[in-house]
Amino acid sequence: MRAVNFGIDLGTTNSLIAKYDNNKVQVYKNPIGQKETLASVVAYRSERILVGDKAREYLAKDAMNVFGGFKRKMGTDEKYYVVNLDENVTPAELSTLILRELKKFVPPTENVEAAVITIPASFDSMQSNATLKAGLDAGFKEVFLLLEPIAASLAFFNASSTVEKPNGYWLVYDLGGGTFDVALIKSTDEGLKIADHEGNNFLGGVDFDFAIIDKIIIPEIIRQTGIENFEEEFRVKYGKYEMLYYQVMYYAEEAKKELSQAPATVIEFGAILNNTNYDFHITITRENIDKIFTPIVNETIKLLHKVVANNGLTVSDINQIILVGGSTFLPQVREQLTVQTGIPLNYSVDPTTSIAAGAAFYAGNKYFEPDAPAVTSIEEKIVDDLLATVDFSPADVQVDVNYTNSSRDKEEVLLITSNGELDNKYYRISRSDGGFDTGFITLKSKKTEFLPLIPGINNLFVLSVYDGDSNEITSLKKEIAIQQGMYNIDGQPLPHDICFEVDDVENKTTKLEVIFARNSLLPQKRTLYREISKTVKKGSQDTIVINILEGDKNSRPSSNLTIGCIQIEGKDLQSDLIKGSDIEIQIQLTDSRVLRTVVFLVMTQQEFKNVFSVSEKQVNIERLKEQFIQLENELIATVRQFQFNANTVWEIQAIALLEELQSVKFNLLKLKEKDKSDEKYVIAERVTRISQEYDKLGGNERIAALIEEYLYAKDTLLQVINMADFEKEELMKMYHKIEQAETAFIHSKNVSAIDNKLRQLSDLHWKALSNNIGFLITRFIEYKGYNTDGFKDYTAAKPIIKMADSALEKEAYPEFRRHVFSISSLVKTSRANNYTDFKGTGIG
Amino acid sequence: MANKHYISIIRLLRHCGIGYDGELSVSKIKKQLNVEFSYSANGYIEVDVYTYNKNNVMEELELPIFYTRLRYHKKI
Repeated sequence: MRAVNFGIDLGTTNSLIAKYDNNKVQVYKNPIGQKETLASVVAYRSERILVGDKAREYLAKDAMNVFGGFKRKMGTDEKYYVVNLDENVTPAELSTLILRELKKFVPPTENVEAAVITIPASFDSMQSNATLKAGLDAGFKEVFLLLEPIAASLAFFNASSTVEKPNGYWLVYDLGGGTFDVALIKSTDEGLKIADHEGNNFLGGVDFDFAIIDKIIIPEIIRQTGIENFEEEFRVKYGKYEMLYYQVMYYAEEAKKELSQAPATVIEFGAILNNTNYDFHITITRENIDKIFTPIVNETIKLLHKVVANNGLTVSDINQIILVGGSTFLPQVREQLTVQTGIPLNYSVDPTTSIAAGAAFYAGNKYFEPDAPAVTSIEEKIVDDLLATVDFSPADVQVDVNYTNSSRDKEEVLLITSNGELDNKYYRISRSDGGFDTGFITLKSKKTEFLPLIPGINNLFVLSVYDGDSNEITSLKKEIAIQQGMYNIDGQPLPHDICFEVDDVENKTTKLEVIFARNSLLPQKRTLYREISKTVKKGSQDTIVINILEGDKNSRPSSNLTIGCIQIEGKDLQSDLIKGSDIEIQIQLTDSRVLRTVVFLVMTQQEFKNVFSVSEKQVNIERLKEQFIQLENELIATVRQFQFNANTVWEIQAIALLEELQSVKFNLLKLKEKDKSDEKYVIAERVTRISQEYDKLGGNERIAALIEEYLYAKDTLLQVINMADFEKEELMKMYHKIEQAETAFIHSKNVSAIDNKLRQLSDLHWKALSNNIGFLITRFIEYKGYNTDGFKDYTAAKPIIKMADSALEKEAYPEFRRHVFSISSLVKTSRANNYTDFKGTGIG
Repeated sequence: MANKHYISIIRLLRHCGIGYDGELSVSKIKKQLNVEFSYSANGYIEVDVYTYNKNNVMEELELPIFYTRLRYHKKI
């Protein structure tokens, strides 16, 4: 095993590579131009591909063949059309080129076989897997992913500054070129822990540039030219202003940088618009941009407050905010953070290099199995050949050591593993200053030793192995270096909940069950034992669907991203699978979030294994259709509710979502499971997006209204239960069950979760009413008033009505109640049940 | 927590050769287990049919009632 040591910041605007070596981090410089940063830009020239700053120079000149900012599109279906190639390239392919270029920063004598690549904390599995793929395609044998705020924390805490770093809570505020992360870090004597994080993958430096374009440059162009539809035309992809669009983006970015230092700047450019030559001179002041940047900065501060509040903390509990990312140079960011949080800001780490440096610190403690070392020179080959002739090490003994190379503690553990012929072999560990010596200890297959550390220095130890005659076997000698006083990280937290979809047969829908909770440390492995909820006949077309989703456990399944889907059809079975039989589902999530599943059907003794493709989307059409119908019904109900409450704004928004959803209904319904086209992915994406937008509709105001509605419904329900004449105790138990989970779902601020609880309250409300004699009498009188058309089977209902009358007269209420229930089941209902043919997942 | 089903830590301690009788130092046990987890191929340690992952083991060790739970598990 060898330490990875290389860390890469694959940024939206710039990328860097650094190496951990001998307890120091070195950020490599581009051999051409000697800059540490490589612009994350790729230019396709007629006969060659340019990467980095050279490519960036063509951004304004040849926009159709130059690409930047693609990090934000990783893991999406987005493709970039390259005119010079006449073909499309993906964000992952562009990232591969950046990574290959970064490898060239490292001298050829150093073999870069593996690397740690950083990703934003909020990247979903698709995005992180696309990054992983880009790394492997760039030629790395092994790639480890690291969340950017963790990298920043390691850089900050391990920086050799005199700034005091007391134990407690810290915030890492990482506003990069295209993404934003805020992480709550807890520092203790043992190391660092990521307590929680929030982020937005579409909030970063480029959004400030877009703001300058939208609010200043476009209005000015329209004012000077009088072209009314300019803004509309300007935004059209591959439209007539494509070149101007990229030029303006370039100028906006330059203006933003200048205004960080100066009170005003002028953008000057020429353009031919509607066959007229224009020269634009647009003056932009700090005051102008203060106004337009504030909403963007506020968005980041809102997330900052959220992460603090969600962990039961206040701003006074936070030691400092550590600023990371190029966009934190903006004065507006620093001013607003100070004014709105009052937390001291810390800009002691270099916002540009800290992520790469932190990644290298992490890489120093990450190990991989290297390829056999390549002989690089004739001299080395001669030495190797000579060494091969001398029997320094009996070939039948191997010794390996495992330890952490940085520690805050006074001692650190060393794990020694050996195999081969261990009889009569000994080891001895000594510290270079002579202050520690284990003496000779018998070598065993596994041993641990605690090594005492001298504070604040790099502690060097040597492990020597001896044979029975006390002769040292020099080739087994190991050098161990542990830097005392440096911080380490416990592990990487999971950014989202990982759930699987199970049937809620009673409500003819599905729900999410958590497999791995957000913020659990990776890697994770778990085996679930469940029952099959429907019979699947051998050879039939029935299917069991194991859907693994990433997102928020409180939301409806359709709002989540499917990261794994296993379908077991009747034709895959060796015998019938009977309802109620057992299913074992083993789920593994690696450090780099690669998902592996093993499903075992106990009844048929069959195993199904899957390692999910890094970028492949998983969709089951039948499940998608059911999710669609559920979402459509919820939207219809919500539109009616908004109409009832005369909330016109939300009503319009909900109708727009409903119409957008329904626009794909025809295509979805005609889709067959074996459809080869991309249609199912397109529709699945739309359903997920609309479901998420529906959750966000009305924002905090709607959540507050729903919470108020929930609390009111709860009070009313309690009164109804208290008036119940039957099953009062049972009803009360059900009421308390809902109430118990109250804190969690109210704090989740998730519309779907609160809505779901409201529905449960409503169901219980009806149940309580049906146990109230007064209500039953009212219902009975109502049923009696129906004509024959009001019943599904009037002949059956007629004698029951008579029996109910008689029971009521005798005041035999339990009997009366039974009869009213029977009558109600014979009454025609106007409520359409869309789930009569509910298939679900088949997992209970 | 929803994502963990409890498995006694004793089996793991025994597997790693970590003593759990007499006076214990949680900090030392954590260090030993940390290095054991980083040494394992996938980041999990499998003992018989049981899988231990670092997250759950460290959470268990950090519980204020860890010693009480350990005593209880030693009895059973």
